[in-house]
Order: sequence, then structure tokens, then C-alpha cells
Amino acid sequence: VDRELVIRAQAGDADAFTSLVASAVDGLYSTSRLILRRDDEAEDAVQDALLRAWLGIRGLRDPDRFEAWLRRLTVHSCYRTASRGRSRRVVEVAPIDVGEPSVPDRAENLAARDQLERGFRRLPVDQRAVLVVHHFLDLSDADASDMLGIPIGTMKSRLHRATAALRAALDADDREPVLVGGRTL
Amino acid sequence: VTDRDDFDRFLHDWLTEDATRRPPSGLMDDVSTAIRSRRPRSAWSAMLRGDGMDAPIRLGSWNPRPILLLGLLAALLVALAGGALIVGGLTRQPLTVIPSPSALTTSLSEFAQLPPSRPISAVGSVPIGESDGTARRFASDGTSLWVSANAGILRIDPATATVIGRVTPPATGSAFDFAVTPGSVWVVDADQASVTRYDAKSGRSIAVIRVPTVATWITSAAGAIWVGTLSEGTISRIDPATDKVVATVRVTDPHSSRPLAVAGEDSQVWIGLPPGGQVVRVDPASNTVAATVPVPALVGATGSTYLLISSGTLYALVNNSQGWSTVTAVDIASSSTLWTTRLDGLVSSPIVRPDALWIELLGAGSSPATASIVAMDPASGRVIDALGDASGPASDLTDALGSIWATRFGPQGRLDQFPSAALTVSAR
Repeated sequence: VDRELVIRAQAGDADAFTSLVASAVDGLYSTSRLILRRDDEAEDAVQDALLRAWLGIRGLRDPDRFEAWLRRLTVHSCYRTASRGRSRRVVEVAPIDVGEPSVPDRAENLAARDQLERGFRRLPVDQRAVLVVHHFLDLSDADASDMLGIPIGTMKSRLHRATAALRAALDADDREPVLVGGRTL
Repeated sequence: VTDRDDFDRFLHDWLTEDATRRPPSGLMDDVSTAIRSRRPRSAWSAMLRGDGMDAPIRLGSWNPRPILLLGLLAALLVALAGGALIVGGLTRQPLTVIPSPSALTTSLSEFAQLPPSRPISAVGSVPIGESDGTARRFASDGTSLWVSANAGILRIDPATATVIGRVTPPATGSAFDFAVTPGSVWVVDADQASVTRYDAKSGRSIAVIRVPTVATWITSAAGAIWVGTLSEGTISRIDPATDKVVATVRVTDPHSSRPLAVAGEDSQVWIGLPPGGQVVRVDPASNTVAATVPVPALVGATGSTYLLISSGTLYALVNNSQGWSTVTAVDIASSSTLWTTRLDGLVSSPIVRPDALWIELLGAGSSPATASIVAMDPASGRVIDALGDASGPASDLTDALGSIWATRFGPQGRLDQFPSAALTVSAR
């Protein structure tokens, strides 16, 4: 991170701030999209995080921590966005986009990805976030806990619970559906 | 993916492959637009909001931010309570600050001696039909005499001594102040921050002018209408051509609880400031305070205060709640006090004539019901003549349109008319 740009942004230089976040926005959007599993909500979360970053940049004590700070703001924006999504009266059913694998894959792999997607979506947003931070961003425990805004012990236990919950979700998906009275249970 | 390592690897691959989608092209444009309409918050604001910090404030696993906020809130409440106590204490302080005689330029150890009074008789009377007989204050536009009463502001024809018109403000019955200019009557709206302009002939409202705060007095001077307030310590200038407030001048600290007195002339407006014991002159050319003249007697004002300007001399009449008063003459050019005279009774309605300053004196001597009109020597402040008004005290006295006019208290409201020559000092 260019310290000079951060300091200029803290002085109110909007161009400096735009330059700072332009290089980070792809990663922030990817993180948000993985956590929220919706393109529109991911876009909202990133916009919210960047606006909060601009408004709060004078509270950033160490310019070298700008990037980590921005990621933490993004995770918290994801929490807020997911909370707003839950409060909607009408439940929106978004199409499941499993993504295009980067290499040709076997049929069973596609099925496994579909199971993973379904299981992932069943997790609470904080468990999705800890999985993304740990498995996608590959941050150290200290950085991951800092990004999530929780102590390391809490982060580890949450990761354990999230992994167990995801595996349980996959196991549940593996079970054969039972037809009772014309409804699938 | 039953094995844990396989599961972790599989999850990592899935997330990585799913993360290749780029953000919409308009996202950065929207962000850029949004931030250019806002400014970053202060560091303190960012810290209190928490998400503006690069690391949360933590004591071990305990996040003290809510406690910090509660602490700040408690400190704020304590500060507000302390401020309220201080303000309450200040406002509870007695407003009566009677100056010791030594604080004044003239010895006031004794009341002025009054000469024996001569009788004075009215030559005419104007019934105004007020059930409680309260006619309050006079003003003149050069052709008619106007007097405020319960039924409104009455227009008196001096030739026939009859009521020939009226203006009826909504707040009739309350102690509204008013001013007159040729063709118009200007009335302070008692409960609203406005002044209503009425057509003198038809009595109809022709303009409602918003002023910064509820006004307590109004006067006409220097081609403009001036209104002022007790609480704000400001006066505002209304342009009669546009019916707009064109300037507001601060003449004293806000929240002054003392009465202000005002005197207007063609080229200047004077405001008495009892809390500071001074009178300020507002220059209508620049709408600024142009001069300050000390009047120590004003410090003791706890009753109504009157100012009058004549021939380079400022007269300040100051009443006190103990039933006595002072009259002070100040030379404006040198800002020096010429004399101060202490009178046993309450003073009002100063009238300047060539040979004397005439004043209504109520409650002089041992009987509060007695009323006199006394003449004071402009050079020395001595009381040189006194008129015994058999009709009792007047609530206002004015020299207008060739006569002396007095408003009367009593069950049948009326104005009494005296010949102008009645206010002539008699050689003794």
C-alpha cells in the first residue's frame, strides 16, 4: 500500500482514495460474493464498505494497515448486507451459480460442487465468512481473526463449527430423499 | 471428500474457482461519485463509530467501546446538568443591583426637594369607551394622535378630540408596542416573531414582516422601523419600502433579562442597556454600534427605563422596585454625566421643552396615589416646578399637535387635553 496515497486520502483527497481502492476492489468483491453468494448483495456490500472506509479513513492510525482494515470493513459490510437480506419479507430465491470450473471436470465433481454450494448456503453468514477467510484468502490465524474482528480462539472455534456444519450439510444432501404424500422431505 | 485434508483442499479449490468473477464495471464509478459528495469524518467520530478504526480497542477479549460510549454519554449528561445548575444559579441571582450613592456621579443621599405644586386643569377630554379605562401609550404621525388601548390602537383627531379610526391587532388586550409613520401603523405581534403593518386609513393589515425573534419594542427613527428583543440583545431594522428586515445589530449579550430602553432621532438610534450600565448608539448609515456612553444609574434599573435625546443631551429615567427613581443627563459629545437626581416616586413620560425637562412623577411623597408633573432644570437637574394633576396619574403623557395629552387610568378610559402652555415653568 502506498503510504503517501493513504495520507493524502486522510487529508480528504478523493482521487488518492480512488486509486487506493481501485487495486483492491476485485479481491473485495470476490470475498463478498463468496460470503454472500449473490452478485447484487456483494456489490452492495463492497460499495458500503468503501464508503465507510472513505468516511472513516481519519480513524486509521497505521497507514500500512489500510488493506487489512479495508478487508475487515468489507466482512462487516457483508454481515450487515446479509442481515438486511434476512429481514426481507419476500424470500428471494436466487439461481445457484456454481461457476465455471477453470478446467474440464468430471460429472461427479460437478455434483460435488453443487452439493458444496447448497451446503454453503445453509451456513450462517459468520461461518461462511470464516471459511472464506481461512480457505480462500489463506490468512494467518492472527490476520484472519483481525479481519473478522474476533479473538483468535473464537475464530478457530467458529472455523471448526463451520467446517463441521458444512460437512453435515453435505452429508444431509447425500441422503436419499423420501417421498411422503407427494412431498419431498 | 470424506478425508479432512481432501475436504479442505476441495473447499479451497471450489472457493478459488468461484472467485474469478470480476465486479460490475459501474461499481467503482458509483463509489467514486459517492465519496466526492462526502467528506471524511473526524478521527474522533471514526473512533466512536468503531468501524473507522484499523484495530478495535480491546482489553484482552473484552471490547470496551460500548463502555467508552456509555462513559462519554454519562460525562455529557453530567456536563449538561452542571451547566444547567450554573445557568440556574446565575438566573436565580437577584436582578436588583442598587448602586450605592457613591457609585454615581452625584450624591444621591437625599431625594430632590419638590416645590409646592400648582394646579393644572384639562381643557378637553376624549372618551375612548374602554371598559377598564386602560389607555397606555401615545404616538403621533404629525397629523393624528394614536393611543394604544384594550380595543386596539385608536386614532384621535386633535381638532375635534374624537376617535376617528382604529387598528385592531389580534393580540388586543396585551401590552403590545407600536410605532406610527405617515400612513402606517406598525405593531409588534405579542406572541410571534413578526411585526404587522397596518394601513392607517383603513385599519387593514397590509404586511406581516418576519423578524428574527419575538420583539418587545418598536420605534421609528432615521427613516426605518427598529424592533428589539429582551432575550436576544439585538435590534432589527425594517425597510418600510420593502417591508423586509434589512439588518440585525447585536447591541448586548443575548439572554439579557433586563429591560431595554430606546430613543430614536432622525440620524441615530439609542439603546439603553441596564445590565451594563451604558447606552449604545446605533449608526443607521452602517447598521453598527457606533458609540457607547456609560450611564451608571442604569445599573440599578429594576423597573421601566426611558431614554430621551435632545440637543446633544441624553436623558435616562431609571425606575427601581423600591419606589424611587433617578434621572440622569449625559453630554453625548464627551460621554460625561452632567447630573443625576434622585426622585421619591416613579418617573415616566419625559417631555423636553425649551426651559425644562418635564416628567410624570407617580407616588411622590408619602402617598402613592399622588401624581405630579415636575420640571427639571436641564443644566443642574434641580426640580424647579411642579404641577398638581387633580385627575390623578397618567399612564402616558405626550406633547403633540399643539397640546399636552394624558392617558387616564380608571373605570372610564379617556384622554385629557391640556394647553401646550401648561408646561411652562412658572417664575417663583
